[in-house]
Amino acid sequence: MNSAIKRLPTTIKLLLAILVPAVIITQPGCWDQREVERLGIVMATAVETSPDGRVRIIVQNINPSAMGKTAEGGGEEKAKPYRNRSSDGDTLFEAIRTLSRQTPRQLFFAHNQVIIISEKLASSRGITEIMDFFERNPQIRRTTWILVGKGDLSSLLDEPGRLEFTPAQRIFGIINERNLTSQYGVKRLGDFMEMMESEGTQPFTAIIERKHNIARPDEQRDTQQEGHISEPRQNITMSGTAIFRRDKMVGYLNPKESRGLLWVKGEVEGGIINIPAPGTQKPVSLEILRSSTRLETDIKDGRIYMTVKIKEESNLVETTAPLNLTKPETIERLEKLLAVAIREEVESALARAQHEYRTDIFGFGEEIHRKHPGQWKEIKDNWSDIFPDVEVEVQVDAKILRTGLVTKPVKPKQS
Amino acid sequence: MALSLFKNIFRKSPLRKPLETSNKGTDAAARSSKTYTSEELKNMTASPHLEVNLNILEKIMGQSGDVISRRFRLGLSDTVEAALIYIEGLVDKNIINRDIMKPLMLEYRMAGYPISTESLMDKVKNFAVTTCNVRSARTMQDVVNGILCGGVAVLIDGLDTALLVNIKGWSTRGISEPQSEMLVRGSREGFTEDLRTNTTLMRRRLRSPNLVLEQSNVGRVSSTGVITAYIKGLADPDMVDEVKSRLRRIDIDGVLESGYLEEFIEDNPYSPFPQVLHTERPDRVAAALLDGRVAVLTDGTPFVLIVPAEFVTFLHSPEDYNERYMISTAIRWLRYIAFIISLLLPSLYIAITTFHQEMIPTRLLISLASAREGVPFPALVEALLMEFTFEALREAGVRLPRAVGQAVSIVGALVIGQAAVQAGIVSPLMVIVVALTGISSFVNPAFNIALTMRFLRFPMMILAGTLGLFGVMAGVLAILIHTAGLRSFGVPYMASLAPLHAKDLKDVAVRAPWWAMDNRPAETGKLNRRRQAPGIKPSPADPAGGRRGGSR
Repeated sequence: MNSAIKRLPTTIKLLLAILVPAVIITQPGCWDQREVERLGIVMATAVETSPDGRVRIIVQNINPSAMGKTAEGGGEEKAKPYRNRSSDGDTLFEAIRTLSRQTPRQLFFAHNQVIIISEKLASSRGITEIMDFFERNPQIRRTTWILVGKGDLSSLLDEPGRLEFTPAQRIFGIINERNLTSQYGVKRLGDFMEMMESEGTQPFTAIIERKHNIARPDEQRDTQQEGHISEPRQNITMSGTAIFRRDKMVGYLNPKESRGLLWVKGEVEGGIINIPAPGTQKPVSLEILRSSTRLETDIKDGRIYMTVKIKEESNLVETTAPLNLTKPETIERLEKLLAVAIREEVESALARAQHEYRTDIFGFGEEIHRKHPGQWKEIKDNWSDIFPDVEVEVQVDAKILRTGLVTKPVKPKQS
Repeated sequence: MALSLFKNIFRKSPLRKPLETSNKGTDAAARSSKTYTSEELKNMTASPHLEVNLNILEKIMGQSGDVISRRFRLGLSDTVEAALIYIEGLVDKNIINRDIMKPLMLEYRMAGYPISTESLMDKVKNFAVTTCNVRSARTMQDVVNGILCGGVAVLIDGLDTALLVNIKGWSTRGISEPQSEMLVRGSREGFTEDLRTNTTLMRRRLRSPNLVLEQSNVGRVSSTGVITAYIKGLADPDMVDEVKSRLRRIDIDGVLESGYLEEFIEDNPYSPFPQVLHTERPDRVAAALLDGRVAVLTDGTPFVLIVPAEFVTFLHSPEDYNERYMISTAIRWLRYIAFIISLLLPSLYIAITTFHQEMIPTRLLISLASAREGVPFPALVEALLMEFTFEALREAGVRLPRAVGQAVSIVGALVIGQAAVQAGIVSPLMVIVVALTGISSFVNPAFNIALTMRFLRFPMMILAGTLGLFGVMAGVLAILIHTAGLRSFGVPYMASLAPLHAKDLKDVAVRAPWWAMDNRPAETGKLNRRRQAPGIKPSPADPAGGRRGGSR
């Protein structure tokens, strides 16, 4: 064989040397090639129950040509930058493939920013059956945000926006700014699924819903006026945290309780917390700079004790009461009040989770598993019964670092 | 005695017959059709008869109009005839007139030396011709070569030895700035086409008796002067011998540029990678010689070959060593990155946009998709189209006269940059990719490695368009395996990276300051590792106790 090749004329050998690799390279290649402009890029996916009990998927497809170039002058009406498409199926993948009967491009999920699951589906059917698709499909990223949507999902995904091209990007943008309030706990798909599968913790994620837009004027103005587009009737907003037991949503925390949850999880990275000023009881606003949380567990006489140690630092950003901030005593007193306020937040969340919903969203079980693996084996099967009886002590160490540029608040001079 | 001996030899010479026949007949056609091989010339000795010698020379190269022979009589005597033969334009006529003709015709007579055949040559050589480069030649080959190299042959009747006076005097291009290797800071002198000027430039930079410039001639017809330059005690003698033996092996009719030699002496003729560095900068050659390398200077070209050449040396510029080391290090890295871009950017673009869209940041993907909306070709075809246009433009720009070059760039900018995008034939991003690739390939200081990258870019693009990133990776691996296996004069091509010479990385990963570059490269500087005295980093206080610089 080898000598047969050697005996060939040089030109043939050269041709072989070029053609053989060319065939080897080009023949198996190209099969999975797809050009960018042929992709139906999906930015958001919503899942809900269809009226006949099957699953319904709504995908938000972008229209790149309407998004790429900046608006060129007025007059000409711009194309809608996105299209929402929906279809039903017994499984999610069936629904997606059914969608291709009405979509000119192959749906591409790798850039999906958010997954919204309807509250109804999450609380009645449970999400196990739909999570399999998101876990199995290679295009879905584990970093996608997962949310629980209240109300009509299709209207959540079709709220006209001004700053972002698509509602999906708007939701994504809102989540990116979550640390300015820390008033909802939002999870990525991967983390969420891990929490779902863990024995010692229960999943939670943020709730999204539409709220009336107060900025919209009551009386309609002349919309013919050039360039004037009135404010949308409703805004989408993150209204709190949905909490789950296993795969079923069991309730939700309001913004204050949500931050209580985040304090325990050590995920508060910002936000405003108000405390009553000493004396006048008028509110003083503090901006949280950073915080860290340590959990300590102790098992004594069969009872489980948890200590939540929170360290927090903040700046004073606004005061409605006249305070003399030059005095260290004032600051110290404020710090104590701040610690109380934080503890209140945590306790409100604890009360909800332990006594109302009886679901361990804080991950106390995991902490016990880590610190007392032996005892955990005994209690893990009844953990949901034991959890409400866990004694939790909250210790807060709060500090105020800076008070801004003024030491004395403005005050009208008394004549 | 000696005279008669040579006469005998001449008589026995087999060449005598054709000589005599041509003496009788004056058939011009028959004369011009006869060519002499150098072997024949070597065996032809000069005759003691001037007539015979002139006849032979006439036959060898007499048809050309620029071969001038001047006959005259020597000194007082009317009996001793002599002749000068030279080629017009190769010699300095003033010197002939002043230092050869005048002494032989006038001053020799005034001195009143007796004219006797016995000591005539000796007398002429030692007392009459007042130029420095004089030697006697006995064979016709010597005489002819001497004349062709810019000498004057003095033939005297009765002597079987010719006197060769070397008085080269042709016009050459002056030393000018090296056009292909411009520097901001550094010597402005570049090599010229004249070998002698080039050796001068070398000597002026390395005033050491150890600098050896060994001359040889390559080319059956062109007989091009080739000089092997190295520094005794620094260059490995085995390597010098290897270079010389490879040069000796060349049997080609003409060497018109050092590129001819390069292809004969490189290690792997089937590689797209250059294995010999070429430069027109004397300072670069001097630096290479100091590393223990060998340079090959070729007559007729300003490009000097440097061997062995490792891969990294192609990415270094002489200016790296002239500028501050921190800045040079940063610029070097810029160059490395640009090098990779010039090879890979189009293929990465193709691979990612056609196979791996999930790797693109969302916003970029959206603008990419919107930019490609309406482009009729797949990314691979689009890229090949644009690269072809760009390469064509570049080639046009190189070849065209300067005045027309402007028009090419305008057409290029308008056609590619503007019209093609507006017409929707190509996407604006592709234009950016191609432009960036083009700019990056110009960053390479060595033109030949930039050409290699230009060449390899296309197979890489096809790999990317068919197999995606997998294909790109396979291509990169193939290139790496190939280059790791290459050798340049026994030195591994990837040397100081593979095999790793950790100490040499201070001239690869960074450009260490001069006071820290104590050692020569491990591969070429084996003979004499230390480059300089250790511990000469400048500091405010001299460790010896003396005061220096700022402390005063």
